[in-house]
Amino acid sequence: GPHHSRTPQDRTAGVCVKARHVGLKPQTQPSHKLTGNARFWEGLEIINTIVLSCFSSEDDSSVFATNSLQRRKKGLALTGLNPGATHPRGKSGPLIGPPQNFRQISSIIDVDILPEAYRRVRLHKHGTNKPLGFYIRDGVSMRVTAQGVEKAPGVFISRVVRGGLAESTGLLAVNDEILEVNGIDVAGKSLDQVTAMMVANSHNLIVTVKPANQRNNVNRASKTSMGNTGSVGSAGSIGSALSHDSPSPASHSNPITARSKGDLQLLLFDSLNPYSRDGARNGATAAAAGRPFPQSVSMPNSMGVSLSNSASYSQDRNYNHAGSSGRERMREDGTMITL
Amino acid sequence: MMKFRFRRQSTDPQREKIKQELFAFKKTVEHGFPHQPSALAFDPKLQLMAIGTKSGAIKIYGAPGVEFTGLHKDATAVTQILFLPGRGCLLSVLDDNTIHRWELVAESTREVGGVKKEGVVSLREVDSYSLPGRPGIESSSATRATVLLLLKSCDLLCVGTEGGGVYVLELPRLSLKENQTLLQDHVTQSLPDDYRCGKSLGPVESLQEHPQQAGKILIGYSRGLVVLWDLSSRHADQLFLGKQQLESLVWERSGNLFVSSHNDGGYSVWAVTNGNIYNHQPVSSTIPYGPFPCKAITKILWRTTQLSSPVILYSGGMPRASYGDRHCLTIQQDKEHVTLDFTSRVIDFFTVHNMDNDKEFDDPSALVVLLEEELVVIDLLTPGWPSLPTPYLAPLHSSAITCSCHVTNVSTKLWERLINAGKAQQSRRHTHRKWPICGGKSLAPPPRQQELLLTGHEDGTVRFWDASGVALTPLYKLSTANVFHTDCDPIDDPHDPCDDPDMQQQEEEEEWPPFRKVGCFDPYSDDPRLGIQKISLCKYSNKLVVAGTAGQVIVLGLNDERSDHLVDVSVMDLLQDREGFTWKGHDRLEPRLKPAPFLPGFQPLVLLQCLPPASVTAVALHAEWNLVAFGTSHGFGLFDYHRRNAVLARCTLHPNDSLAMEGPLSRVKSLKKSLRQSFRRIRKSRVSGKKRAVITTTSKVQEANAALAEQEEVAPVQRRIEPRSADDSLSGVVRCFCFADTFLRDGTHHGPTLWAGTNSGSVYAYALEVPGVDSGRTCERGGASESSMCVEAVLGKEIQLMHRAPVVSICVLDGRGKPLPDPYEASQDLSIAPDMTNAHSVLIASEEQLKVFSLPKVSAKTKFKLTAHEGCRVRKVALVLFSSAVQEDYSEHTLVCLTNMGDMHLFNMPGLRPQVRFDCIRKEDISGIASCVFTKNGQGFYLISPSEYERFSLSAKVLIKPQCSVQLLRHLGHMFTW
Repeated sequence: GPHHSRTPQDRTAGVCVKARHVGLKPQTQPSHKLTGNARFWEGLEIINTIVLSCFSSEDDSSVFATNSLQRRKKGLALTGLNPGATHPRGKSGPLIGPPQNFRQISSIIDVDILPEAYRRVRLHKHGTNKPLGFYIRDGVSMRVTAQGVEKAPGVFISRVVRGGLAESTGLLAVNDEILEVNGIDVAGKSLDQVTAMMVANSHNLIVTVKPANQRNNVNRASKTSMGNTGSVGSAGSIGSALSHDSPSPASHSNPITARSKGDLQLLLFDSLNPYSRDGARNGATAAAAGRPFPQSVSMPNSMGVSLSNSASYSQDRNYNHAGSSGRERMREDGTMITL
Repeated sequence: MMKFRFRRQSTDPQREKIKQELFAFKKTVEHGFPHQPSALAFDPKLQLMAIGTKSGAIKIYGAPGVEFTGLHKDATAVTQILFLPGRGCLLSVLDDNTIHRWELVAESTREVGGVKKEGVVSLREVDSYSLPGRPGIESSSATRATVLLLLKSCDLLCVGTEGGGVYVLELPRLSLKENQTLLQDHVTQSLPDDYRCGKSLGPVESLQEHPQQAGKILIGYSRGLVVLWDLSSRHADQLFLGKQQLESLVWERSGNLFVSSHNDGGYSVWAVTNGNIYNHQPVSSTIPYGPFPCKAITKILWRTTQLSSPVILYSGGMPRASYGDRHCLTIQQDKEHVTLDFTSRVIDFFTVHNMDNDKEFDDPSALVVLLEEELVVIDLLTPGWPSLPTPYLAPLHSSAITCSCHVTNVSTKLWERLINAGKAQQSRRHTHRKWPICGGKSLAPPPRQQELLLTGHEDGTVRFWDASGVALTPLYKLSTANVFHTDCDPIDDPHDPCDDPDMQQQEEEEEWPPFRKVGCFDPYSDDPRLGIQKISLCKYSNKLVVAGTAGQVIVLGLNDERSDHLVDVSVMDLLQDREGFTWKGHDRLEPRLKPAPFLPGFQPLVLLQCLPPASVTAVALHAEWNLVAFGTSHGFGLFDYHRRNAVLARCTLHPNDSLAMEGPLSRVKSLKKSLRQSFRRIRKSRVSGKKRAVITTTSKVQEANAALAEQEEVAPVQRRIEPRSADDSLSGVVRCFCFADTFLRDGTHHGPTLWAGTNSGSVYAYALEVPGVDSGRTCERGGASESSMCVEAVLGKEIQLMHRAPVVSICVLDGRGKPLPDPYEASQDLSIAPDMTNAHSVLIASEEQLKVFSLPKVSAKTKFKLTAHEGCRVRKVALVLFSSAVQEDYSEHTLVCLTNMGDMHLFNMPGLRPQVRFDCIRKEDISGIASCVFTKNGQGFYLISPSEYERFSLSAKVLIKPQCSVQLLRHLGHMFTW
């Protein structure tokens, strides 16, 4: 895909290119999966961009562990363009595994009802050993009001841990402002309160952010977006967004929704037969009757950042990024209206 | 705008009305001793005492129950308080050189139901005045007020200043009378040359009005000069050329003598005889604790008596080298000489004495000493000058408070037994003479019920307080130290020396100065392991459980007789057979091996020792089943104290939890570090906020330090976002217990159960087999005699809350959704019988969520995710019965939740629907939040300082607040004419 380029914090873009290399067909359901080198294949974009979901394989933890080591050793040598060169198992190409080897790890939701400048991200921390992997801090948010530009205290992502869930989704980045946590507005709340809210929701965390980098925003109408490439079927995104509540394949719903529903897990001991056995059955059925997770919607990639940047996961990545996005923010504040 | 979840607001007007009748938030009264007192005053006419504090509070006390509180707008230290005697009016001088006028304002008397009700009086600030020259501007520090004198006529206020000037202000407007100002130059002119010697006279140290001749004042300057000044003729009557640096002055009642106290630890008596204008020498001069250098006598009083020589009272004057660090006040009369030895600094003192102008003598009846940490009153009429127990201003923090517990509706019988036990404890040096400060009248209705507040202290004592009314008064003190063998054990018998008159005599002969320890503030703990962590009292069986820092759990029973007995000891290993753990914390306390004498009151029956000896984090007592449950950071145990039998021990320690084996010390260290860092942060933010243009003194070292500090905090404040994990440290800490007679096994058979919750969101529910307790099951084992049977515990359910937040509280609800009654209440018909026919449910409150689960299947019925919604965490939880203030017999069980934000959330039960929210404690006040304790009827207490409880009420009906009247003289005529 020559019309796809990558942003520094968004590795899914690179994944997307690969996905097409291996010849996936456009799909409306996330039924095709990638496997193999999970380090590079954590994300998948269905080509018609109706759905972008990030998946990681079930055996992710072990693969990830070796790869993270590799990465540390090789550092800057990694690029998204040439995975074969750094593939731990040498030249064998990426393999596609069965769907049940994958689970959803994140999604963008509610695109239809959110202002374009915002992004609502759901992080599925289900059964992964992966930490959520991000930190938040206090900061100053610039808001345009009727009285002019106003400074207000805000909460921002301060750090994204390498190898964490947040990083692997590519949907959250340093200096993104946190606006809501699971639908609750965080305006006026202290850092500790926002922390507590996020921890309390950590098993099914939905954060609404105002990304520091506004170029990757969902391009809802067919209008040309700021980053301007948008060629990848962005016109279809409205329709897809509306379908975000449609049920997902059953193979996925089980491990995910069992936990999203019940915050209580029952471990019942049969020392008091027969009563406890009864209870165990009940607990299990209650937990299994899950609600399907919303289907994900696409995020058309917008571009303009060089590939070499995207590949450089050096230690000071965050700082570089913070610097550049800071400049961008300043520029945006003049044009954007945030409420 | 972006909400995808809306919470429905209840707008039912009927419900809103009921809520208003049930709930109302009010901070009602402060119990205890004001933090950092800085000024003291007494109104002999109204018999009211005022105390000012460093934080700008004014508190007025009269008869027990009579209290007024005022707070200055600025939190500036009150340096002096002056009463306008009899008028219910007082002046306060603040550290910022401002004077404020306060008045006791009475509501008009009203008739309620044909009965004339006296108007309730409150304290209000009515006026303030800024003295010329505020502090901070260096040039004007000369006009900084040092002492004030209010003339008896109450129309003039004399202000002595740092620069040696005396200014006269006219009341009530506090306007300066320019022509009355007496500057130092004016005085210096009339001094003999040899005395003048070119030096300044120094600040004005004392101003005293002549007791007989109105309009004449005594002015004492720091250098030693004393001037008798006539305000009306504006000229010096007499000059007393003292050569010792002056500290204070006092008149003798007749006006023929005055006494000056000095910096060198001495005092002088001067005769005021008409005739010569210059007095070079005092009549007498004494340094009582000489001949070696002594510290200053900061204040002296001279009180005449009809039957004997005058009583001299003074603070300080101790020999510098040997006793320079003591806080002392001396009372002397003839040969009688007592040096009161206090544990904290003397702020000020006064005597209660005869103020009648017709009377010839002072005849003081009491001495009132305000110390930094307590109030001490000495009875001057009883030989030996014993101290008088204070009915209020109790030093709650005599040893640091470590926990507390509230018991409502205590039976008269238990109450009397406690009072008697308390009386037996009081030493002979207490008298029971009437409390000398008796102004005002409490209009508050007599307490509806007797309420006990129990405080646990660092020194291993538990204090029982009468919390039924406005004045929190001590009832009884229980010490647990004598259960153990401690280093400071005095020959195994705590023999009070004052019990033995011979020893007392001996002591006094031996020692000079003749010290006498007075007061009960004792900040030093012999052994921090003695500290009390948890208390539980059963008011029906008079059984008490206290648990402490070194894993000790003591079960006590009430006994009216003195008893010498050996306490049974039982050791409980809470690690069970876990291997690879080594406790790195403190040792257990050694139990005393010989029988110990126990005074009437609560006497220990059994000592349970948890191993490892970590601090006890939860206890529960079910006296009807003779069971006590206790937990630490390692696990929990259940003990049958009747049969002296360990029923259960369960380890809750996570295999990776190394912090739990560290003991408290390492955590203290890290806390210190984090405190240091946060202070640095505050300091830094302050400096940057003010943008100081000029850095006055910058040494290289300071700069280097600053740079170093900066380096240390490069990382901004950030918070990690991760779910709680099983690997979190201290996840095994046991947080709460619940005993309940409920349905754990199935829906038809109920029986005794024990529930335990931990820091990691685990709940363990045990079914108990208690001999003699009808468990409702048919297969009762017949034959075996009750005593030979043991209590058994079988794990029924183990619940892991998915979100892993600490379990704060567990409570079982009956078939109607009401909390189960306390032990004995059901069996002795002391409350409405619980509904055992419909399904029970259990409320599990974690730090993040409140949830009600049905029993026995434990499926969620209702829940409220507080943290997910509000971002606050649950700290304290209580089930409270709120009664309607309007409808006579309407009440509701409500769940009260105090969060880490310091606010109170009220939820209905068992629906868990939010009712109201009140801001209560500042969120920064962590110790305040941690100390909060609720009563069962909607009140509560929390510490606002180490020595003060704030009492608050969430109930619209039940509130205990001061309501008092004062007979003010100013209503007799115009306010400022006498």
